[in-house]
Amino acid sequence: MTSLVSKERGRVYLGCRMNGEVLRFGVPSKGRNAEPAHQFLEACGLKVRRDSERQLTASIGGLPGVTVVLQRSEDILIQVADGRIDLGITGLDILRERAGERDDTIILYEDLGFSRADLVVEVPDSWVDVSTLADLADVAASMRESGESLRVATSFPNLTRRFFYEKGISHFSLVRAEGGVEAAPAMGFADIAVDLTTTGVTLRENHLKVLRNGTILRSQSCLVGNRRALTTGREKREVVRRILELIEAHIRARTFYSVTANLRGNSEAEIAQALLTSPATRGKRGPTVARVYTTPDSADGDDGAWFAATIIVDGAFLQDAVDHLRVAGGSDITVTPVKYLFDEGSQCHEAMLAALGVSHD
Amino acid sequence: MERRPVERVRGTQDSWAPEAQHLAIIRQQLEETFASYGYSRIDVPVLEPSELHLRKSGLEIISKLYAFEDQGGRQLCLRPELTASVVRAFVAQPPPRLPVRLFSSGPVFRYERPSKGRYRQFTQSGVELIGADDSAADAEVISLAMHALDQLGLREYVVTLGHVGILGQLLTNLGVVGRLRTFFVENLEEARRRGVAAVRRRLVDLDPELFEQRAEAAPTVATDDRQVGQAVAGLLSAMGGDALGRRSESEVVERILLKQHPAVGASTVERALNFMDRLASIRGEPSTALAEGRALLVEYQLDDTPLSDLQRVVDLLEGFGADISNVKVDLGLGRGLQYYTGTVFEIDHPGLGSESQLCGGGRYDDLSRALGARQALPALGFAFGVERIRLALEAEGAAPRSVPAADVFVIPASQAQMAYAAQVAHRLRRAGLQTQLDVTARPLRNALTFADREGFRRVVVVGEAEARDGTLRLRDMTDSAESTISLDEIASLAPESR
Repeated sequence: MTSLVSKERGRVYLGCRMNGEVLRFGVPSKGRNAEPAHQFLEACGLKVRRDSERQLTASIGGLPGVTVVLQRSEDILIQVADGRIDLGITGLDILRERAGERDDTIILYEDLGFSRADLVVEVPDSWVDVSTLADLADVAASMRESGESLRVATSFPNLTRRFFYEKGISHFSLVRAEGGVEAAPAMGFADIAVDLTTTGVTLRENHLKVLRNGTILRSQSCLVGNRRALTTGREKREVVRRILELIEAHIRARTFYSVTANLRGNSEAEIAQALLTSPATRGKRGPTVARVYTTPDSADGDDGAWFAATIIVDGAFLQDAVDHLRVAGGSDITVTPVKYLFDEGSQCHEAMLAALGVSHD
Repeated sequence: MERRPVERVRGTQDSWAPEAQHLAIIRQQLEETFASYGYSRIDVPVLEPSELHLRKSGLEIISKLYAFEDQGGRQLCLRPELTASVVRAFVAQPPPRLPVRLFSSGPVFRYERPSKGRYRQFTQSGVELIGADDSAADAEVISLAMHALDQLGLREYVVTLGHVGILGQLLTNLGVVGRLRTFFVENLEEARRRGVAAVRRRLVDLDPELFEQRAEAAPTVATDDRQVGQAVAGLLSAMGGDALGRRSESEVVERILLKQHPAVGASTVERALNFMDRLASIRGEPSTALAEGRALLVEYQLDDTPLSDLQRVVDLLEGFGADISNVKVDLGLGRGLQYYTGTVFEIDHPGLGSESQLCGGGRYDDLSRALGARQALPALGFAFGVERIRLALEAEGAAPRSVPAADVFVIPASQAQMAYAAQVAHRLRRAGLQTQLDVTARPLRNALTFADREGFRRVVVVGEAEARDGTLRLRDMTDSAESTISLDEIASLAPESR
């Protein structure tokens, strides 16, 4: 069990802290990250089970001891930093903005592959003379000469300030806005905006355009953990390892397909040899070849017996692989997506142990 | 209830004796050397308006500013250095006669990635000499910095001299002004450290159109500017009356035309980058580096005033008694600060590894005007990093001895003698001995063990007899010899040399 402190906190924040709880896992429940996060976890085999919509906690089948805490992404980050939650899914944008470099939060998986959005500098369409940061710097300078300052609406003041300073734009004022940031210029609250964009629809509706070199951050959902909790809690680390393995195997599998073809040949070795000669049919490590037992009417002829060869290929080379299998005499080619792809170990788990400075448990 | 210990802010330090003591001594000795040259103390606030640094400090400082909004909505910062504050104070209240010599010390704050020798809060101590433009002023300030280190007993430091006016001259000749000029001046240091290719990347990063657009500019059929203006105006009115926000149509049209016919073309930018590359590679003994510099200036048909100024500074330094064998010239030295206009210098210590800089300074003739003075005033100054000096002294083996917190430890044999023991302690202090009184009411044996472990050389014990007779028992902890002396004899006890 964790310290008395977090027990008390648990009671305060959730009203329950069941015996046998090993790990508290924050999963977004509201906002644009919520739906994709739940879908992602389900695809990883970590489906979040909630008894009722109103409950603030849930569980994950197959992972006893894990309490899923349903929160907003912003709150998950804060609670992970404070140690009230051990592990959580949050946005890289919020992490970089709020936690910056806080030592108490450790990134376990930086790109979970969903909730992608870019934090960008947006200026009015009508500023036809402004397409780069250099142009914007000139506009800021000329506003300053006339005693004004460039007003920038954003809900990411820290990232914005740092980026502008780094790009030599030092005279501007930040207009804090939590919602409707992109409407601020048209409404006259601000001159330009810095906001997240995914499709660009909202910014176009607000007659804004993105500067050519105005991308501050490419964001997506990430998995973070509390350094202290993971350093001291061996049991917690073990649960995190299992979660990381599933996530990693799922993400790695996403680009891979399992391809099976039937081929004629004299032996497993001969088929394997033929397929190993081309990179396209070599697959990730090499083919698995097995004898196919046929009915008399399609019996083995002079061309040899039937064999089934299976390879794991990257999606980018799928068509190549199929073409090459055909050339090699393959037929009945089936392709199925790979759900998980486990390697010998989990890279993320290794990276976590290294970052925490602890040895293998 | 939260029971976790409250942690120190990242990048800050708790400094204990003897290091804390050593730091205080270094700072005091620096200030004494400054004062010996007739510089007077000025104290400036730790809190300043962010604007003070946004105006002229440049990227190096601004990107590391601890800035925040206070309860009244003011944009404030923790000072990242002392010079801007001192000049602000000077502009607000200019002294009647010039030049004026000032020194200041205290904590400064920079949001850096902490590492050994690099902290987010550190101590600067430095001088400003305002109102003197002759090279003799440069020589005085630089030799003062060297003298201050000599006084501290530091031996292996290296002074590097440069001059940002050389690049400034080329940029003026090329007609490079405004933001682009600032960019080049600020990035001279980057060219020296990472090469001109890194500067070029930064430039393209900032303005991806710089090279593409200017390459196209030449063959473009000269469009009538008026036609362009009309087309843009038509476009803007189609977008709606207030689409521009606070910007005016004429401003946008003007910039469009300026982008069509840039004052500074790609070839000019290339020329400036090439020059920077050459300049940044000139370094070495003053005479050789200056000769190389002169050849470069001849090649680019530039006036060699900055180099003859630098030559004069080197000559004067020698005349001022500075050890010139410690001095190098590096024409790529840019300091990364925007406000320097002439001579710049740094002092490094080879024993400190990657964070080797002990001191930085230079001439900033435009700063006072940027901060609101009616006219530009010649000025220069420098600042030492006090913690770095301590590390340098330590690297040369001059670490302070670990000494007990006091010369004498006074122990009352029992509670009844506490008042008398306090009197004795008071008399010892008046005699110039640093004296600690045991106020714990522990058994005598434990108190003696404590005194021994703490390293006290002398212990005074007062019991019933001593209190009655007006005497004290003095025990030398090194040989356990004891003697009884009277209160009046205390004055004859010499303070231990510490």
